[in-house]
Amino acid sequence: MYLPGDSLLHRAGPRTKMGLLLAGGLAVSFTRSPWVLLAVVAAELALFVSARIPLRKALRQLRALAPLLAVVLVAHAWLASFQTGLIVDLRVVALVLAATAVTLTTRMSEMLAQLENLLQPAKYLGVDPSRVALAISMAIRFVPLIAQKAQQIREAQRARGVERSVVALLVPLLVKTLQMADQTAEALQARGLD
Amino acid sequence: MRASPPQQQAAGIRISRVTHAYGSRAVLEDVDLTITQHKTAVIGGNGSGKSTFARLINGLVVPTRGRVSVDGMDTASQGKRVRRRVGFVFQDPDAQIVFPTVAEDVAFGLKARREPPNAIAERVAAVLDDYGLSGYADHPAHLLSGGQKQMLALAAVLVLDPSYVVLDEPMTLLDLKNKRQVTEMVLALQQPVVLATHELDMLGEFERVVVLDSGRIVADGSPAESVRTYRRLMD
Repeated sequence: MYLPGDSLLHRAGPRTKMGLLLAGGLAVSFTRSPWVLLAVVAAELALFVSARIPLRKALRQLRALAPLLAVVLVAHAWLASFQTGLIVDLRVVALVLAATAVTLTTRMSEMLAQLENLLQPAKYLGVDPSRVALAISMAIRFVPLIAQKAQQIREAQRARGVERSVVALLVPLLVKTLQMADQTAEALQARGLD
Repeated sequence: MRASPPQQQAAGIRISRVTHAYGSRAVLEDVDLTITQHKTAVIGGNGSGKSTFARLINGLVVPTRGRVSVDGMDTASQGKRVRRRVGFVFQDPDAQIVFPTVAEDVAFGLKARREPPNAIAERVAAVLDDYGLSGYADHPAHLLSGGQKQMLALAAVLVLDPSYVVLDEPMTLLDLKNKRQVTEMVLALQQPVVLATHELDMLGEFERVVVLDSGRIVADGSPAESVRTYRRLMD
């Protein structure tokens, strides 16, 4: 989620950042030296500092990935070599940090405008780029909202003595999500999107 | 710029002999009235038809029988034009906010109208300032308080300068302080307002209060008269 600021990274255009992300991602994917990858990760962390983005924001993304990184490292160490596992992990870390840096310094609307531009040729296939951009934006908007609803349902179930039940969580969550989708469709219509 | 009523068309909201049913269940029956007042409230118990009544006005609901028109435009055949004229605020702002951050959500309607980017930025900044949200432009919408979310929903509607504003129980999910804040904003609106509500405290400021019961109008007059009827119904 965007963090306001006026650093060089914030000021860079979304097209530049997304282009660099793509080019950097490709370069990292073909790099085989752990030292070069370590240098990339260090440079990315320096970028976070220069953009005044708290490092804990970056580390939070990596913490979620930690179990996966551990499995990859162990599997490679067992099947190939420890160094191969380390290289794969460093590539993932470098890519996630780069994507996080772009996400935290670029407004969603700017990214969607870029995406909309990129999707213009799809118009000839009958795809409306603005609708695709809106759908992505709404998906991002509704993730925390659905998580909130899930939390409310879980609390209500626990208050009634149901500690763990997938069905008791999923059925009302599905119903609530569908209700919310209906209300949102109505709201979009009311706001001029027919 | 606010859309002005087209010439040679009846100004105001006209609801002519409207019946609306969901399947076989009628929620509004033979409702007939013209709204020309600046502030009109619709009250009634749960399930009395208030929300359907509100939705009729901007064509979100099209009557099963009868006709609804806004400034002479039929909501059934000219729904899109009517919705440009009539802003609608929902009970639950979470359903209305579609973009992840505050400024992006307010800008949405202007972008949909293909306004130039500079004009959008100016309008959004001005409206966020008016609604006490200027410090929250890049704030994630889901982290706002209930009151702030409703202010955002209101700002997102008013940035489009509608000619009328319809609100469907906008205070239901708010605490006392936020209710007061939203009430003040609603009462200060320049546009004619139609408010469906359970909040009787604010009705003194309204010129006309319509009471619905089981889909029928049972009172239509001054706040004092209508509230008396409503209280009798609720006893």
